[in-house]
Amino acid sequence: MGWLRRRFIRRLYFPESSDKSEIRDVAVAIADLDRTHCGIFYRTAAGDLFLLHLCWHTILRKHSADEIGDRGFVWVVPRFLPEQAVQIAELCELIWRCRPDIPYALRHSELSMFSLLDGNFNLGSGSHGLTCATFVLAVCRSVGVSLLDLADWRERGTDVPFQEYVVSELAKSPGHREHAAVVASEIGCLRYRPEEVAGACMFDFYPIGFRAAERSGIALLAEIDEYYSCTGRRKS
Amino acid sequence: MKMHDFFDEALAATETIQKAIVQERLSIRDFEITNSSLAATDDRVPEKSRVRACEGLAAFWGQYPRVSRLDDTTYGNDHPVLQFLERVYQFQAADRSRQGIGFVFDQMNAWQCSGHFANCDLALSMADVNRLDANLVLSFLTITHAASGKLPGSTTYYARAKKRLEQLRGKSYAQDLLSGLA
Repeated sequence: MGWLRRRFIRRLYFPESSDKSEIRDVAVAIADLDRTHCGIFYRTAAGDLFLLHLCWHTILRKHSADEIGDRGFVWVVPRFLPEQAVQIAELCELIWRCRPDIPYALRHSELSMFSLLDGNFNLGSGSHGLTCATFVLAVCRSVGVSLLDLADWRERGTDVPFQEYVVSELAKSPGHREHAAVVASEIGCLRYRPEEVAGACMFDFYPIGFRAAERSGIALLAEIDEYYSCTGRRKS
Repeated sequence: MKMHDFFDEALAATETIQKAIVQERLSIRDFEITNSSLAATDDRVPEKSRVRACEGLAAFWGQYPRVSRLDDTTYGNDHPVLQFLERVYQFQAADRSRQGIGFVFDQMNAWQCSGHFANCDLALSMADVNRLDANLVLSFLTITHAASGKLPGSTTYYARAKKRLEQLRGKSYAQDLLSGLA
Protein backbone atom coordinates (compact mmCIF):
# COMPACT_ATOMS: atom_id res chain seq x y z
CA MET A 1 0.00 0.00 0.00
CA GLY A 2 2.76 2.35 -0.97
CA TRP A 3 0.29 4.81 -2.38
CA LEU A 4 -0.59 5.65 1.20
CA ARG A 5 2.44 7.86 0.90
CA ARG A 6 -0.12 10.37 -0.21
CA ARG A 7 0.20 11.64 3.29
CA PHE A 8 3.49 13.10 2.20
CA ILE A 9 2.07 14.62 -0.92
CA ARG A 10 -0.24 17.28 0.28
CA ARG A 11 -3.78 17.48 -1.00
CA LEU A 12 -3.47 14.44 -3.22
CA TYR A 13 -6.39 12.01 -3.04
CA PHE A 14 -7.04 8.55 -4.49
CA PRO A 15 -10.42 6.96 -5.27
CA GLU A 16 -9.92 3.99 -2.97
CA SER A 17 -9.31 6.13 0.05
CA SER A 18 -11.73 8.95 -0.49
CA ASP A 19 -15.44 9.63 -0.85
CA LYS A 20 -14.54 12.92 -2.52
CA SER A 21 -16.02 14.85 0.38
CA GLU A 22 -12.73 16.72 0.61
CA ILE A 23 -13.68 18.43 -2.65
CA ARG A 24 -15.67 21.26 -1.21
CA ASP A 25 -15.78 23.28 -4.41
CA VAL A 26 -13.01 22.34 -6.85
CA ALA A 27 -10.08 20.00 -7.38
CA VAL A 28 -7.77 19.32 -10.29
CA ALA A 29 -8.08 15.73 -11.49
CA ILE A 30 -5.31 13.87 -13.27
CA ALA A 31 -4.99 10.43 -14.84
CA ASP A 32 -1.95 8.78 -16.38
CA LEU A 33 -3.29 5.69 -18.09
CA ASP A 34 -2.76 6.26 -21.79
CA ARG A 35 -1.31 9.72 -21.68
CA THR A 36 -1.45 12.16 -18.83
CA HIS A 37 -4.73 13.99 -18.86
CA CYS A 38 -6.31 16.49 -16.50
CA GLY A 39 -9.56 18.28 -15.82
CA ILE A 40 -11.50 20.03 -13.09
CA PHE A 41 -13.67 18.38 -10.47
CA TYR A 42 -16.27 20.86 -9.30
CA ARG A 43 -19.19 20.74 -6.92
CA THR A 44 -22.45 22.46 -7.85
CA ALA A 45 -24.63 24.52 -5.53
CA ALA A 46 -26.82 21.41 -5.17
CA GLY A 47 -23.80 19.45 -3.95
CA ASP A 48 -23.32 17.25 -7.02
CA LEU A 49 -19.79 16.56 -8.17
CA PHE A 50 -18.73 16.67 -11.82
CA LEU A 51 -15.58 16.46 -13.87
CA LEU A 52 -15.17 18.95 -16.72
CA HIS A 53 -12.31 18.33 -19.10
CA LEU A 54 -11.18 19.10 -22.62
CA CYS A 55 -10.77 15.68 -24.19
CA TRP A 56 -9.71 16.65 -27.67
CA HIS A 57 -10.28 19.11 -30.49
CA THR A 58 -13.69 20.75 -29.80
CA ILE A 59 -14.61 17.90 -27.45
CA LEU A 60 -15.47 19.16 -24.01
CA ARG A 61 -16.88 16.58 -21.62
CA LYS A 62 -18.70 16.65 -18.32
CA HIS A 63 -19.10 13.51 -16.23
CA SER A 64 -20.74 12.94 -12.90
CA ALA A 65 -18.50 11.55 -10.18
CA ASP A 66 -20.34 8.22 -10.55
CA GLU A 67 -19.69 8.09 -14.29
CA ILE A 68 -16.02 8.71 -13.69
CA GLY A 69 -15.96 5.82 -11.24
CA ASP A 70 -12.51 4.39 -11.27
CA ARG A 71 -11.04 5.57 -14.54
CA GLY A 72 -7.70 6.20 -12.97
CA PHE A 73 -8.28 9.77 -11.92
CA VAL A 74 -6.67 11.02 -8.75
CA TRP A 75 -7.13 14.58 -7.63
CA VAL A 76 -5.43 17.43 -5.90
CA VAL A 77 -7.41 19.93 -3.85
CA PRO A 78 -5.80 23.33 -4.39
CA ARG A 79 -5.54 25.98 -1.74
CA PHE A 80 -7.59 28.60 -3.56
CA LEU A 81 -9.34 31.25 -1.54
CA PRO A 82 -12.86 29.91 -0.81
CA GLU A 83 -14.49 32.65 -2.86
CA GLN A 84 -12.26 31.90 -5.84
CA ALA A 85 -13.00 28.19 -5.62
CA VAL A 86 -16.74 28.89 -5.66
CA GLN A 87 -16.38 31.13 -8.71
CA ILE A 88 -14.45 28.40 -10.54
CA ALA A 89 -17.13 25.83 -9.74
CA GLU A 90 -19.92 28.07 -10.99
CA LEU A 91 -17.89 29.06 -14.04
CA CYS A 92 -17.45 25.38 -14.92
CA GLU A 93 -21.23 24.99 -14.86
CA LEU A 94 -21.65 28.02 -17.10
CA ILE A 95 -18.98 26.83 -19.51
CA TRP A 96 -20.74 23.50 -19.81
CA ARG A 97 -24.06 25.20 -20.45
CA CYS A 98 -22.43 27.33 -23.17
CA ARG A 99 -20.68 24.28 -24.68
CA PRO A 100 -18.02 26.36 -26.42
CA ASP A 101 -16.14 24.89 -29.37
CA ILE A 102 -12.64 24.81 -27.96
CA PRO A 103 -9.98 23.99 -30.53
CA TYR A 104 -7.12 21.78 -29.40
CA ALA A 105 -3.78 23.51 -29.92
CA LEU A 106 -0.38 23.73 -28.30
CA ARG A 107 0.63 27.34 -27.80
CA HIS A 108 -0.94 28.98 -24.77
CA SER A 109 -1.45 32.63 -23.99
CA GLU A 110 -1.81 33.94 -20.47
CA LEU A 111 -4.69 36.03 -21.77
CA SER A 112 -6.73 32.97 -22.67
CA MET A 113 -9.87 32.93 -20.56
CA PHE A 114 -13.57 32.34 -20.76
CA SER A 115 -15.27 35.36 -22.19
CA LEU A 116 -18.74 36.69 -21.64
CA LEU A 117 -18.48 38.32 -25.06
CA ASP A 118 -19.45 35.20 -26.95
CA GLY A 119 -19.74 32.42 -24.38
CA ASN A 120 -16.49 31.00 -25.69
CA PHE A 121 -12.84 31.11 -24.80
CA ASN A 122 -10.97 34.25 -25.74
CA LEU A 123 -7.68 32.66 -26.74
CA GLY A 124 -5.34 35.61 -26.53
CA SER A 125 -2.85 36.53 -29.20
CA GLY A 126 -0.81 33.76 -30.78
CA SER A 127 -2.96 30.99 -29.38
CA HIS A 128 -5.15 28.76 -31.55
CA GLY A 129 -6.65 26.60 -28.85
CA LEU A 130 -6.14 24.86 -25.56
CA THR A 131 -4.94 21.50 -24.30
CA CYS A 132 -6.48 19.68 -21.36
CA ALA A 133 -3.88 21.34 -19.13
CA THR A 134 -4.18 24.85 -20.51
CA PHE A 135 -7.98 24.49 -20.32
CA VAL A 136 -7.57 24.17 -16.55
CA LEU A 137 -5.19 27.14 -16.53
CA ALA A 138 -7.61 29.24 -18.60
CA VAL A 139 -10.58 28.46 -16.34
CA CYS A 140 -8.56 29.41 -13.26
CA ARG A 141 -7.29 32.53 -15.01
CA SER A 142 -10.87 33.51 -15.77
CA VAL A 143 -11.50 34.04 -12.07
CA GLY A 144 -8.16 35.76 -11.56
CA VAL A 145 -6.10 32.77 -10.40
CA SER A 146 -2.77 32.23 -12.16
CA LEU A 147 -1.70 28.71 -11.25
CA LEU A 148 1.59 28.74 -13.13
CA ASP A 149 4.11 31.49 -13.66
CA LEU A 150 4.06 31.30 -17.45
CA ALA A 151 6.82 33.89 -17.82
CA ASP A 152 9.15 31.49 -16.01
CA TRP A 153 8.47 28.58 -18.38
CA ARG A 154 11.14 26.95 -20.53
CA GLU A 155 11.21 25.02 -23.75
CA ARG A 156 12.01 21.33 -23.46
CA GLY A 157 13.05 19.11 -26.29
CA THR A 158 11.28 16.25 -24.55
CA ASP A 159 7.94 17.95 -25.25
CA VAL A 160 8.36 17.76 -29.02
CA PRO A 161 7.32 14.08 -29.44
CA PHE A 162 4.04 14.80 -27.66
CA GLN A 163 3.46 17.86 -29.82
CA GLU A 164 4.16 15.90 -32.99
CA TYR A 165 1.77 13.21 -31.80
CA VAL A 166 -0.99 15.79 -31.37
CA VAL A 167 -0.48 17.11 -34.89
CA SER A 168 -0.46 13.63 -36.41
CA GLU A 169 -3.65 12.69 -34.57
CA LEU A 170 -5.38 15.88 -35.67
CA ALA A 171 -4.29 15.30 -39.26
CA LYS A 172 -5.91 11.86 -39.26
CA SER A 173 -9.34 13.44 -39.26
CA PRO A 174 -10.15 14.98 -42.66
CA GLY A 175 -12.14 17.76 -41.04
CA HIS A 176 -9.23 18.78 -38.86
CA ARG A 177 -6.40 18.87 -41.39
CA GLU A 178 -6.42 22.61 -41.81
CA HIS A 179 -6.30 23.05 -38.07
CA ALA A 180 -3.56 20.42 -37.84
CA ALA A 181 -1.43 22.53 -40.18
CA VAL A 182 -1.86 25.52 -37.90
CA VAL A 183 -0.97 23.45 -34.83
CA ALA A 184 2.07 22.02 -36.64
CA SER A 185 3.50 25.53 -36.72
CA GLU A 186 3.40 25.52 -32.91
CA ILE A 187 5.64 22.49 -32.45
CA GLY A 188 8.52 23.40 -30.20
CA CYS A 189 6.52 25.94 -28.18
CA LEU A 190 6.32 25.95 -24.39
CA ARG A 191 4.33 23.09 -22.94
CA TYR A 192 2.46 23.10 -19.66
CA ARG A 193 2.06 19.45 -18.75
CA PRO A 194 -1.04 18.11 -16.98
CA GLU A 195 1.05 16.82 -14.08
CA GLU A 196 2.60 20.26 -13.66
CA VAL A 197 -0.79 21.94 -13.54
CA ALA A 198 -2.05 19.39 -11.00
CA GLY A 199 1.30 19.43 -9.19
CA ALA A 200 1.13 23.21 -8.80
CA CYS A 201 -2.07 22.74 -6.82
CA MET A 202 -0.09 21.12 -4.03
CA PHE A 203 1.51 24.43 -3.14
CA ASP A 204 0.11 27.07 -0.84
CA PHE A 205 0.63 30.08 -3.06
CA TYR A 206 0.30 30.74 -6.77
CA PRO A 207 1.62 31.20 -9.37
CA ILE A 208 4.19 28.39 -9.28
CA GLY A 209 7.43 28.69 -11.21
CA PHE A 210 8.78 26.24 -13.76
CA ARG A 211 11.23 24.30 -11.58
CA ALA A 212 8.84 23.82 -8.67
CA ALA A 213 5.98 22.76 -10.93
CA GLU A 214 8.21 20.40 -12.87
CA ARG A 215 9.49 18.72 -9.71
CA SER A 216 6.04 18.56 -8.26
CA GLY A 217 4.75 17.01 -11.49
CA ILE A 218 7.43 14.32 -11.44
CA ALA A 219 6.64 13.49 -7.81
CA LEU A 220 2.95 13.39 -8.60
CA LEU A 221 3.42 10.96 -11.50
CA ALA A 222 5.54 8.72 -9.27
CA GLU A 223 2.74 8.62 -6.73
CA ILE A 224 0.16 7.85 -9.41
CA ASP A 225 2.38 5.11 -10.84
CA GLU A 226 2.72 3.51 -7.46
CA TYR A 227 -1.00 3.79 -6.86
CA TYR A 228 -1.72 2.10 -10.18
CA SER A 229 0.73 -0.70 -9.32
CA CYS A 230 -0.87 -1.25 -5.94
CA THR A 231 -4.36 -1.39 -7.40
CA GLY A 232 -3.41 -3.72 -10.25
CA ARG A 233 -3.96 -1.09 -12.89
CA ARG A 234 -1.63 -1.15 -15.86
CA LYS A 235 -0.53 1.79 -17.90
CA SER A 236 -0.93 1.21 -21.59
CA MET B 1 -40.03 63.69 -28.19
CA LYS B 2 -37.24 63.16 -30.69
CA MET B 3 -34.25 61.05 -29.96
CA HIS B 4 -31.79 63.91 -29.74
CA ASP B 5 -34.15 65.77 -27.40
CA PHE B 6 -34.12 62.81 -25.09
CA PHE B 7 -30.35 62.68 -25.12
CA ASP B 8 -30.21 66.41 -24.49
CA GLU B 9 -32.49 66.00 -21.52
CA ALA B 10 -30.47 63.10 -20.21
CA LEU B 11 -27.26 65.06 -20.62
CA ALA B 12 -28.76 68.13 -18.98
CA ALA B 13 -29.95 66.00 -16.08
CA THR B 14 -26.51 64.50 -15.69
CA GLU B 15 -24.92 67.93 -15.63
CA THR B 16 -27.43 69.09 -13.04
CA ILE B 17 -26.61 66.13 -10.86
CA GLN B 18 -22.90 66.69 -11.34
CA LYS B 19 -23.18 70.33 -10.31
CA ALA B 20 -25.24 69.46 -7.27
CA ILE B 21 -22.70 66.93 -6.16
CA VAL B 22 -19.76 69.21 -6.73
CA GLN B 23 -21.39 72.04 -4.86
CA GLU B 24 -22.63 69.68 -2.10
CA ARG B 25 -26.15 70.84 -2.49
CA LEU B 26 -27.42 67.39 -3.23
CA SER B 27 -30.58 65.95 -1.83
CA ILE B 28 -32.25 62.65 -2.57
CA ARG B 29 -35.47 64.43 -3.43
CA ASP B 30 -33.81 66.47 -6.17
CA PHE B 31 -32.80 63.29 -7.89
CA GLU B 32 -36.20 61.73 -7.58
CA ILE B 33 -37.72 64.69 -9.36
CA THR B 34 -35.11 64.62 -12.12
CA ASN B 35 -35.43 60.90 -12.54
CA SER B 36 -39.21 60.98 -12.68
CA SER B 37 -39.10 63.49 -15.47
CA LEU B 38 -36.73 61.28 -17.40
CA ALA B 39 -38.82 58.21 -16.76
CA ALA B 40 -41.89 60.00 -18.07
CA THR B 41 -40.23 60.49 -21.42
CA ASP B 42 -39.10 56.88 -21.65
CA ASP B 43 -41.96 55.44 -23.67
CA ARG B 44 -41.76 58.17 -26.28
CA VAL B 45 -38.32 57.24 -27.58
CA PRO B 46 -37.09 53.98 -29.10
CA GLU B 47 -35.91 51.31 -26.68
CA LYS B 48 -32.31 51.44 -27.90
CA SER B 49 -32.07 55.18 -27.39
CA ARG B 50 -33.53 54.96 -23.94
CA VAL B 51 -31.08 52.31 -22.93
CA ARG B 52 -28.15 54.28 -24.31
CA ALA B 53 -29.18 57.48 -22.59
CA CYS B 54 -29.86 55.70 -19.33
CA GLU B 55 -26.57 53.87 -19.68
CA GLY B 56 -24.72 57.17 -19.69
CA LEU B 57 -26.54 58.30 -16.58
CA ALA B 58 -26.03 55.01 -14.82
CA ALA B 59 -22.32 55.07 -15.57
CA PHE B 60 -22.17 58.53 -14.11
CA TRP B 61 -24.16 57.63 -11.01
CA GLY B 62 -21.98 54.61 -10.53
CA GLN B 63 -19.27 56.99 -9.39
CA TYR B 64 -21.46 58.14 -6.56
CA PRO B 65 -22.62 55.20 -4.45
CA ARG B 66 -24.93 57.33 -2.35
CA VAL B 67 -27.16 58.11 -5.31
CA SER B 68 -26.91 54.83 -7.17
CA ARG B 69 -30.07 53.45 -5.59
CA LEU B 70 -32.05 56.18 -7.30
CA ASP B 71 -31.73 54.29 -10.55
CA ASP B 72 -34.93 52.54 -9.53
CA THR B 73 -36.90 55.69 -10.29
CA THR B 74 -35.16 56.20 -13.63
CA TYR B 75 -35.91 52.85 -15.13
CA GLY B 76 -39.10 51.83 -13.43
CA ASN B 77 -39.36 48.60 -11.50
CA ASP B 78 -40.06 46.55 -14.59
CA HIS B 79 -36.69 47.23 -16.21
CA PRO B 80 -34.98 43.84 -16.70
CA VAL B 81 -31.77 44.99 -15.06
CA LEU B 82 -33.60 46.11 -11.95
CA GLN B 83 -35.57 42.89 -11.85
CA PHE B 84 -32.34 40.97 -12.22
CA LEU B 85 -30.64 42.87 -9.40
CA GLU B 86 -33.68 42.51 -7.17
CA ARG B 87 -33.50 38.76 -7.68
CA VAL B 88 -29.81 38.77 -6.81
CA TYR B 89 -30.55 40.65 -3.59
CA GLN B 90 -33.24 38.08 -2.83
CA PHE B 91 -30.75 35.24 -3.20
CA GLN B 92 -28.48 37.09 -0.81
CA ALA B 93 -31.23 37.77 1.69
CA ALA B 94 -32.18 34.09 1.64
CA ASP B 95 -28.54 33.19 2.32
CA ARG B 96 -28.33 31.44 -1.05
CA SER B 97 -25.42 33.34 -2.49
CA ARG B 98 -24.04 30.23 -4.18
CA GLN B 99 -27.22 29.93 -6.24
CA GLY B 100 -27.05 33.68 -6.74
CA ILE B 101 -23.66 33.36 -8.40
CA GLY B 102 -25.07 30.88 -10.90
CA PHE B 103 -27.95 33.26 -11.55
CA VAL B 104 -25.59 36.21 -12.11
CA PHE B 105 -23.42 34.17 -14.47
CA ASP B 106 -26.40 32.87 -16.44
CA GLN B 107 -28.20 36.18 -16.80
CA MET B 108 -25.14 38.24 -17.68
CA ASN B 109 -24.11 35.61 -20.20
CA ALA B 110 -27.62 35.42 -21.68
CA TRP B 111 -27.74 39.18 -22.14
CA GLN B 112 -24.47 39.15 -23.94
CA CYS B 113 -25.31 36.24 -26.17
CA SER B 114 -28.61 37.86 -27.17
CA GLY B 115 -26.96 41.19 -27.96
CA HIS B 116 -28.12 43.05 -24.84
CA PHE B 117 -24.61 43.97 -23.85
CA ALA B 118 -25.71 47.34 -22.44
CA ASN B 119 -27.67 45.51 -19.75
CA CYS B 120 -24.45 43.98 -18.43
CA ASP B 121 -22.94 47.42 -18.12
CA LEU B 122 -26.06 48.79 -16.47
CA ALA B 123 -26.05 45.93 -13.99
CA LEU B 124 -22.46 46.74 -13.06
CA SER B 125 -23.29 50.40 -12.65
CA MET B 126 -26.41 49.80 -10.61
CA ALA B 127 -25.46 46.86 -8.43
CA ASP B 128 -25.52 47.83 -4.77
CA VAL B 129 -22.47 45.99 -3.47
CA ASN B 130 -23.41 46.81 0.10
CA ARG B 131 -26.30 44.38 -0.21
CA LEU B 132 -24.04 41.55 -1.40
CA ASP B 133 -21.59 39.19 0.26
CA ALA B 134 -18.04 38.61 -0.98
CA ASN B 135 -19.04 35.72 -3.29
CA LEU B 136 -21.70 37.71 -5.07
CA VAL B 137 -19.61 40.88 -5.25
CA LEU B 138 -16.89 38.82 -6.88
CA SER B 139 -19.28 37.09 -9.30
CA PHE B 140 -19.93 40.30 -11.23
CA LEU B 141 -16.20 40.86 -11.62
CA THR B 142 -15.53 37.27 -12.64
CA ILE B 143 -18.16 37.09 -15.34
CA THR B 144 -17.19 40.44 -16.85
CA HIS B 145 -13.44 40.03 -16.39
CA ALA B 146 -12.57 39.13 -19.98
CA ALA B 147 -14.86 41.83 -21.35
CA SER B 148 -14.09 44.57 -18.83
CA GLY B 149 -12.46 46.77 -21.49
CA LYS B 150 -15.80 46.99 -23.27
CA LEU B 151 -17.85 47.73 -20.17
CA PRO B 152 -17.52 51.33 -18.99
CA GLY B 153 -19.32 50.45 -15.76
CA SER B 154 -16.67 47.92 -14.78
CA THR B 155 -14.18 50.54 -13.57
CA THR B 156 -16.52 52.04 -11.03
CA TYR B 157 -17.82 48.60 -10.08
CA TYR B 158 -14.29 47.43 -9.40
CA ALA B 159 -13.67 50.40 -7.10
CA ARG B 160 -16.89 49.77 -5.20
CA ALA B 161 -16.24 46.04 -5.04
CA LYS B 162 -12.76 46.64 -3.66
CA LYS B 163 -14.10 48.87 -0.93
CA ARG B 164 -16.81 46.36 -0.05
CA LEU B 165 -14.44 43.39 0.00
CA GLU B 166 -12.00 45.30 2.20
CA GLN B 167 -14.88 45.97 4.55
CA LEU B 168 -15.92 42.31 4.58
CA ARG B 169 -12.56 40.53 4.49
CA GLY B 170 -9.85 43.06 5.27
CA LYS B 171 -7.43 44.82 2.96
CA SER B 172 -4.90 42.05 2.42
CA TYR B 173 -7.50 39.36 1.69
CA ALA B 174 -9.39 41.68 -0.66
CA GLN B 175 -6.13 42.37 -2.46
CA ASP B 176 -5.57 38.62 -2.92
CA LEU B 177 -9.08 38.19 -4.26
CA LEU B 178 -8.85 41.06 -6.68
CA SER B 179 -5.23 40.95 -7.83
CA GLY B 180 -6.01 38.76 -10.83
CA LEU B 181 -9.17 40.61 -11.77
CA ALA B 182 -7.85 44.15 -12.13
